[in-house]
Amino acid sequence: MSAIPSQLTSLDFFEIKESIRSYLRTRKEFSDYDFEGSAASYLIDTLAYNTYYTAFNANMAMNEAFLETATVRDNIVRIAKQLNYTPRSVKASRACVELHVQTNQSTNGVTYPEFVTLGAGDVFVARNEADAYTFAMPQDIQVPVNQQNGMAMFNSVLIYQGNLLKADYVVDYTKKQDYIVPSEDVDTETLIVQISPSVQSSETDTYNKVTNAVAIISTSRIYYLEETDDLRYRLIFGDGVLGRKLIDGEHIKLTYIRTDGPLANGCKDFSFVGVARDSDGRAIAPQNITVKTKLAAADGEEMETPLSIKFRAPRAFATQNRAVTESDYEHIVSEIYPQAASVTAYGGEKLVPPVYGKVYIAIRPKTGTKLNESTKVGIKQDLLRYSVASIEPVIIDPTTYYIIPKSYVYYNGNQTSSAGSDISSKVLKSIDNFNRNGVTNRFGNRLEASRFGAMVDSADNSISGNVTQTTLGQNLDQFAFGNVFTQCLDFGNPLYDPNNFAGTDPDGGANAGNGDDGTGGGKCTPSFSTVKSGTFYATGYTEDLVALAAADGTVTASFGSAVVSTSEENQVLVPVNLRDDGKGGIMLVTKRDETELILNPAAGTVDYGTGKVCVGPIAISGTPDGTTRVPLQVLPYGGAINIPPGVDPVIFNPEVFAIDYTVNDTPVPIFDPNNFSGFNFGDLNINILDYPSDTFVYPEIDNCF
Amino acid sequence: MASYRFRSEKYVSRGFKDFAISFMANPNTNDFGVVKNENAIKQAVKNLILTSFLERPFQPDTGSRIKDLMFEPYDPFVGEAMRNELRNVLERLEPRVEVTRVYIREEIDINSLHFELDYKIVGENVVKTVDFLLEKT
Repeated sequence: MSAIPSQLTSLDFFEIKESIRSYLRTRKEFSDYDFEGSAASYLIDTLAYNTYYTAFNANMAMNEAFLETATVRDNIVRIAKQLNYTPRSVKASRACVELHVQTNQSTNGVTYPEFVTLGAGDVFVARNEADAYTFAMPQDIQVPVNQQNGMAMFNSVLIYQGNLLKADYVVDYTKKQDYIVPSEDVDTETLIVQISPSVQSSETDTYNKVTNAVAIISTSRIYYLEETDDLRYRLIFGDGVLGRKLIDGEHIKLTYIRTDGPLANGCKDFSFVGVARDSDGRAIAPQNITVKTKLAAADGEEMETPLSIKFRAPRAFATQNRAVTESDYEHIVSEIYPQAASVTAYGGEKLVPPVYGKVYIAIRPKTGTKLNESTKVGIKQDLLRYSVASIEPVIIDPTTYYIIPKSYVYYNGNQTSSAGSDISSKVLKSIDNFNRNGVTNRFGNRLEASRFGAMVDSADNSISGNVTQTTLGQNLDQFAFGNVFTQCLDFGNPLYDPNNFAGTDPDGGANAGNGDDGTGGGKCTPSFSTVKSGTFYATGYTEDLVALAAADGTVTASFGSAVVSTSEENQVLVPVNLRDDGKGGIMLVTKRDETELILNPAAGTVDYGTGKVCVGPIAISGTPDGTTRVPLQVLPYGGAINIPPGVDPVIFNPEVFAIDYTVNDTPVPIFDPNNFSGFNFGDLNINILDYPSDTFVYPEIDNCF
Repeated sequence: MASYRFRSEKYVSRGFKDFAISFMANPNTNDFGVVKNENAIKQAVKNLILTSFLERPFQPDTGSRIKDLMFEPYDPFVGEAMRNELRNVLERLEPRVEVTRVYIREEIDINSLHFELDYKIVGENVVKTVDFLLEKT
C-alpha cells in the first residue's frame, strides 16, 4: 500500500524529513535516501525545508491574526484597531514654571509695553540626575504688563519635554493620501491639527481628536487617530457624513512634540532659552527674565507596551460606550468631561432610603469646587446616550468630606539631630503623600487609624509612636442667604455621645444645680460638645437682641426658648456658632463678654449613633468669607473611619505636634475633649467657648496639570 | 537523538539506487537520471566532500571543511588537514565505505588541487578510487 507523508503539518524539520523518508520506504524506485551524502537526501532536505517553511508561515499567520496570540506589535495594534482601541503613545514629561519678566519702558518713555509674548518652541532646558533635556511650549503665551512696575507675570506655564516639531500636508484628491505624523516617539496628546483653506491662507481651524462617532455631524471639525506601522500615528479626517471632509487644496498643519518619555522625569531648575518679546516687538534681555520651577518634571511614560494593549483593548471594548456599572459611569464621565478631577458614581439603591432607577455621579472639577448647572445638564445629556434606558443619571456635587487629623508624635531626641519642627514637617510630608495616594480610591472606603498611625511612625526613624485624634468635617452648603433651610449631613460614623461622659449628680437629680440638668434623670449637663460649626451670621440675631438678653439677669447661660429681635433700628448681626448640647440637640450660641449665650436651643438634631447631623430650620444671612458654606466638624467614636458612598474624602489641615519624650513625657489622651479643635470648656460653671476665629481654609485647587 | 540519524538495518541493501545529482533527463525515457551501486556511493562521497558546514538546513554539522581549506595557501600542513577532513567526513556520514588512502596533489599551473581517494565498499572486497580536481575559484 502506498502511503503519503503524514507529518506535513509538523513544525519540526526532522519530523517532516522522517515522514518523507517513511513514504519513500514504501516505494521501490530509490533506496539511498538514508545516506546523508545521497542526492535523494539532499532533495528530501529541500522538500522538508520547504514544508517546514510553509507550515511555520501558516502557523505564524494564524497566530498573528488573533489578539491573544499575536506577538508583532504592528499586528497587535491592527487587531486592537478593530476594537476601536488606540494604544497610548509615549507621554512627555511635563513641568510647570513661573516666569517673571521685567519690561523696559516703551519708546515714548512714559508707559510700559502693553503685553509680553513668550514664543512657542523648545524654550526651556533643565536636567535631572541622568542628563539635560529640552522642554517645549506648544503655543505662544501672552500676558499683560503691570503698568505700575512693568512686570509681566506668567504664573503657570505648562511645558513638555521634547522638541516641538511641525509637519504639513496639502490635500490632493488625485492621490491616495495618508496623513501620518512623520516621527517616532510623538506624544499624541500634544498634537495640534490646524487646517487652512490653502497654503497661503492665515485663517485656520483647529480640529479635535475624537474616539467614536457619537454626536458627530457632517461639519464637525474632527479627526480620528490610529497607530499605524513603525510606531507612527495616522490621522483620519471625516468623510462628509461623520465629520467634515477636507477639500482639495486645503493645508493641514501638524504641530507635535517628540519626546524622551520618562527619562526626563525629575528635571527641575529650568532655564529659559527662548525669546520673549514685548508689544513693541523688542526682545527682552535674558537677565530680566526670572524662572521659578513650580512643579518639577513628572508624568512622562513609555509608549503602551504590546502586552498592555493585549490586556486593555478587549476590556476597553467591553465597557466602551455603555454605562452599566458604576465604574462605566466613572470612566465615561471622565472621557466626556476631561476637566473632572475626580468622579464618583454610585447607584441610588445605596442611599438610605434607597432611590431605585437613578445613578448618582459626583464630579469634582479641576478648577473650582462645583459644576455649574448648565455643565451638569450637558454632561447628563451626553451620558443618556450611553446609559441603560430606564436608568436616569443624576449629576451631583461631591460631598467633600474632610478628615482632620491632629497627631502628637513622640520621638527620641537623642536619636536624631532634627529639631521637633523638622520631625513635624517630615510627618506632614508623609501625610500629604498618604492623602494624594488615597484620593483616587477613596482610601479603599475606609481609613484605618492604625494604618494612618503606622504611616506617621515610619516618617522618621527617631519616631517612637504617636497619638492621633481625628475629627471629621463637612460643609453646610444647601442654602441661600436669608432663606430658612434645613440640611442634614451624614458623617457615616458613630460620634462620641457626650451624655455618656456626663457623670451623675450627687443629689440624685432631684434638684437642678451642681450641673444637673434638672430633668430628674440624675445626669449632669454634658460638659463638652462633639459637633460644632464655623462662625456665621443668622438672620434675626442682632447686637441689640443679644445685648438685651445678656442684660437680662434671669438668663445666665441659656434662653428657655428662641429669641427673635423686634428692634428694627439695630440690625447689626452677631457672629454665631452651632454646637450640640450633648443630648441630641443642636444649639445656636454666641459669645458675649467671655460668656456663652444660647440664642436658640433647638437649631437642629444630632444622632450620635449614626453620625447624622441635621441643622435647621434656620436662616443664614452671611458668612465671614461671603461663601454659602458653613463648616461643621464632629468627633467620631472609634479608630477607623468609614467613608460613606458618594463622598470625596480628603485629609485636611493636619496638625502635627512633635514631642521629644526624653524631655517631656506627658501622656496625651486619645480622646481629649479639651483639645477638640477649639472647644474649650473651663472647669467653672460658665462655659467658655474658644471658637475658631475664622472658617475653614478650603484647600485651593491650584494645579498646573 | 535527532531523527535524521535514523537508519534501519532492515533497509540496508546492496542494491543502491539514487538520483543523478546532475538532474539531467535520460534521453530515452525522458525521466530522471539514475545512478546505481558503486556509482551511487561515489556520488555520495563527492557530495559530502563538497558540502560545507551549515549548508544543509538544520544540519550544521553535515559536510566538510574542504571548500574552506581550498583557499588556504597550500602546504603540507594544509594537505594533512584536508586528508583528515576527508577521512572524518566519510567516517561520520558515509557508513558504506572505509577510506584506505587519500592522495592530494597541487596543480599549480591550473590553480587546482587533485584529489585521489581510495575506499573499500563495506561488505565487498573491492577498492574503488574517486579522483577529482577542485579548482580554487
